Amino acid sequence: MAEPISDIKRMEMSRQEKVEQDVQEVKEVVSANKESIVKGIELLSALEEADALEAATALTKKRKTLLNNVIKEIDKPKYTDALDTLPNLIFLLGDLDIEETRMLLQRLNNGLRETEGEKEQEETSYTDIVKSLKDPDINRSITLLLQFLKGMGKD
Amino acid sequence: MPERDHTVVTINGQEYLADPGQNVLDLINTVEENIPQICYNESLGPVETCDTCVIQVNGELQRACSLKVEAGMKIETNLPHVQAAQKEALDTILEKHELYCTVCDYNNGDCEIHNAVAEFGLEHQSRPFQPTSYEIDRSGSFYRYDPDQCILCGRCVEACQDIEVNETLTIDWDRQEPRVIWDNDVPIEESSCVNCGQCATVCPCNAIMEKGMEEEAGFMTEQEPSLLRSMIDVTKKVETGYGPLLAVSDTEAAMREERIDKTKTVCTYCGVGCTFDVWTKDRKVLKVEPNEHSPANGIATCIKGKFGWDYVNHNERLTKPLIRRGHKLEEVEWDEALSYAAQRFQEIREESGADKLGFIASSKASNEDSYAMQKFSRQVMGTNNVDNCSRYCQSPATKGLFRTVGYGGDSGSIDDIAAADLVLTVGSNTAESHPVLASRIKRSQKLFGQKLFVFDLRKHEMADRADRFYQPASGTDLVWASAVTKYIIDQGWQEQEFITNWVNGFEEYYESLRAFTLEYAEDMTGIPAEDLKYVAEEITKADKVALCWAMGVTQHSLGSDTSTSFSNLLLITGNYGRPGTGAFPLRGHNNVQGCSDFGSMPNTFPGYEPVSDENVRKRYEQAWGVALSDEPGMDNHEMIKAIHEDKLRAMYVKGEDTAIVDANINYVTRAFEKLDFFVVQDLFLTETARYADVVLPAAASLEKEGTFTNTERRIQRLYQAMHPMEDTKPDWEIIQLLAEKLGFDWNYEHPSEIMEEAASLSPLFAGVTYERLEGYHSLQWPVAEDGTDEPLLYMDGFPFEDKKARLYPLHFELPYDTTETYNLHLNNGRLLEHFHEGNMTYKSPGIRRTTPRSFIEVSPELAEERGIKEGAEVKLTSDAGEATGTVTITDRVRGKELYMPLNSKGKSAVNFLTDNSVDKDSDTPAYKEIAVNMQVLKKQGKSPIPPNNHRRGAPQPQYSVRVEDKWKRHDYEFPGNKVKRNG
Repeated sequence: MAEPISDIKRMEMSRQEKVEQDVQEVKEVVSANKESIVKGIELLSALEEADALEAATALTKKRKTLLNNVIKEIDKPKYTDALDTLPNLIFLLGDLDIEETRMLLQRLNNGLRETEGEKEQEETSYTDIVKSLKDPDINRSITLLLQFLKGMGKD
Repeated sequence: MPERDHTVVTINGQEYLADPGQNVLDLINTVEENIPQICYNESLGPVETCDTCVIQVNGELQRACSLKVEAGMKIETNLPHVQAAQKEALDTILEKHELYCTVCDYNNGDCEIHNAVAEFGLEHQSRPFQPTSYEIDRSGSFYRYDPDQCILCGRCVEACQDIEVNETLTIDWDRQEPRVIWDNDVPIEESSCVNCGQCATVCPCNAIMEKGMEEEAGFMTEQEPSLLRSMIDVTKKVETGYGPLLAVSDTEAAMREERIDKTKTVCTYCGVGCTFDVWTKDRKVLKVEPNEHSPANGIATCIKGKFGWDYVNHNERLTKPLIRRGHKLEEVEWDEALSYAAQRFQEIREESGADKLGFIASSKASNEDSYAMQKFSRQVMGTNNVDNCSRYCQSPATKGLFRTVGYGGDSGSIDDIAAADLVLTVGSNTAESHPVLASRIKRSQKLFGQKLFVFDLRKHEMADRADRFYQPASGTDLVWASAVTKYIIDQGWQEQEFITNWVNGFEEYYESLRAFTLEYAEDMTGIPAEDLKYVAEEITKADKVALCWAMGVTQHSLGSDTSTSFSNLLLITGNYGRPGTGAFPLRGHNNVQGCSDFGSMPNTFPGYEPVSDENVRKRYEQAWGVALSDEPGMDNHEMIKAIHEDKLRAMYVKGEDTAIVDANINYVTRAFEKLDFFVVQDLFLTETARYADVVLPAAASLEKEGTFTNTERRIQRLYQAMHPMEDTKPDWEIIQLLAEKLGFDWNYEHPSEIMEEAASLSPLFAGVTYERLEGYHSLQWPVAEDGTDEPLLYMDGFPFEDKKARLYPLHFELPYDTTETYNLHLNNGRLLEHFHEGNMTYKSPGIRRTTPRSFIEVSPELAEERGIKEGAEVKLTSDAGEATGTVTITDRVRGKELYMPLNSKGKSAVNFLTDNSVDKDSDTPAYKEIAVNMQVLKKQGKSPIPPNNHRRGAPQPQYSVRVEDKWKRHDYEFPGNKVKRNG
């Protein structure tokens, strides 16, 4: 005589058994994906070395607050102009002559390097300036700057 | 092809051959010229609302979708003023639709507005977006409407009015701000909407969208509303022009592909066999998306297929095998449960013989599951005691067709029903039981002049729509069908040539009809002789007649004979073997056809080959390596009886809640209590499972691969959309594991291997392979070895030796009637939104919200006589038992007839009332023959049909979207004219 039963006795797995089962599952996945996991760990330690891991974790955890703050802030009227500018800035980049810009930037870099070399700077007199014009490097720079100023003034 | 020569059309200077009468937009699409077309959808046909497909034809600017191809047409699609008109139309649409694609849940690569704007290369909005003053309507359970995103293309209206033909949606073009409205402008939930979801399927954008998609589909859409608004604004500020906006949103859409799976599946509810992609994110079902490639349904669905999937992830799912110990069912590991079951089966077989065991397969499970079950029963256990739930519904129809025409299935496709000139439905509440198929009839009747005659006790939706509605007395369909047939022959109207060529036994059959005079029929059925004459005339006059019937015919004590009489009628009138004709016993479950097809039958192997046939048996003995019994086994009705008589000791029931769905359930459950050993395999702890010694947790259809066979004999593949929940397994795998415990190593790694074996053994399925069923491909059996199938049967004769059908003489004797004690007739059947015993659909909160419980329909006459009002509580008592329920008063039933949906468990289960009487030829319970008396417990109360149920709605029938009303508006100007005016 089998009476109808509605009562289910759930299988109670001990915590130990549950852990073992989970570890077994993880082990299998690790074994199947050994290479990518090793690479993944390398990536993690690189991030850690660059102190980026903590920041990324915090950012991810707080992403909703962050998005909320940022979006609601930049949606305020005072940013409207900036937002309008942002895409324009991108379009502007398209108009820049990259070759020319690269030359200019290279020279700027050279200049910066030169200043690093000069440890103790003496004061420069007017005559020093005039004398310097004879230095071909300085002369090239001045010429370039003057041309730049001329171009910038054009309508 | 001389006719085609005349339809040369020039498009952008190049000549093309077109089909005469072809839609011009279709032609442009086939020659790969690209023009925008937002409201056009092949499945809906032209709705002419969006104006974006403007082209120049012979110098005139016109909508391409409105035109039919004519010879010599000169079409231009690229001229500047043509494109200006197209742009004008797109701009008008974008005034109504805000493009914030990146944060829109509809941004999945298939937004038609997005795509049209991108393909057209539209860069800037000429006129600003103008929101409406309406709120979003979220009142419904399953989808919401956002008037601010709605472009008024009217596709949803077209789908609702002319595809689904529920006639709920319209667009009110007369108001200042036109919008889609439900009924007389009521919230979605209070309308007549049946939640078929087709409006959401066809909506080209996010205006009508499934709620399951909201905040789920996009990476950035799961935000609080105010933040979403800010994001939309910021998106628009940053993404100046449509180019960058679309580029960013396309990237986001591509990212979504990574985490949203779109898996083709076959619906697990009724026998129509709808197929669609189910969109899932892990285990979450986002939406169901049918498409024009779905062979049975196209873009159509009903509430259950579109939205009824909550059961798959329901917390009551069984997740571990159970073994009965004391007063509890205890969760155990698979190995323990299977070893125990195997051991008990073996012990009982050794003690009492294999025929003391019985097996019941599931009409919800796959063909492969059915094959595995009957193989287990025959090969592993050694008995033919295997059956399935078609015994509860359609075996009589199968019987009737086998007797007369040779195949036990629909003789054609749903397309044939739609193409018929005259459709007769008998004992079929089609709109609720087979909603998508019913819509095909409703559409043909509404738009294409098809006639519909309905024979039923109850005035259901189809009866309301019918050209003629007849209410024969319960169980007398055989009489009117035979009388009509006799009258046709008496008049000499029979299709003599067809009969001479294709039909045997005419004389003998005609002789047998002698008793079925019109007077006798009027007497027995209550249908006036004049009406029957009219029916006979109309059947004769119609070139193509399709006859559909269902449980209102088969679940009677003369179910097989009545089915036979329909087939006789069709033979006499030549309505077999031609498109648009035939016999359609509408199958009730997703795989009730396939479960029998694949051998879970006590007397036949797969493909209906008798176990008594020595040659057939040898074939299986050779393949399976065992000797097989030639004795037909017990059907499930006989099994229950055998338990009571101590002739059956153990049972294995798979996916069937027998303790609810079999007739006379008090008798059935008493039998279960007597069993020595009982295994039940299911998704839930069903009523039946409560009696089990071992319960095995099965996987749901979305969790496995396999095939289902629909009512059209159409075999279709389902793919795995998600992994089986926790420790559940597909049925075939469970059966295979059990076979292994009993020493049979089947070694199937995939259900395709089971199909391969079945196809190699059963000639009916010789050419069925998984490759041929790839994606949305399907096969309608019989399937020859080269893969040729037969959507329409009997075109080259009937499957008998001389290729001739057989007329089958019948006589009529009705054993059932109401009595003095039990003076009311209780009819019963399905509800649209619930299924079977409700184990799946009652798990859907959305469905429960509008249809929380069962009810008892009482006629106004009877209610008055008994002095009861809406919401009364009554107790019904029959010979077999009693049930109680809540009354709704409706003229769907008349006089002393009651109606109860069968989708109920607990005290309102109709099978407390049904008894052991059966169809004499198939043992199908006569569920529809219940005489009861009604005792009033409470005179009045809360209506069992809540105010938000669609039955309380007020549909607004019209043709299509009435675009003419849009054109009449003072603020409307055709973009072509505007462009011309502006030079």
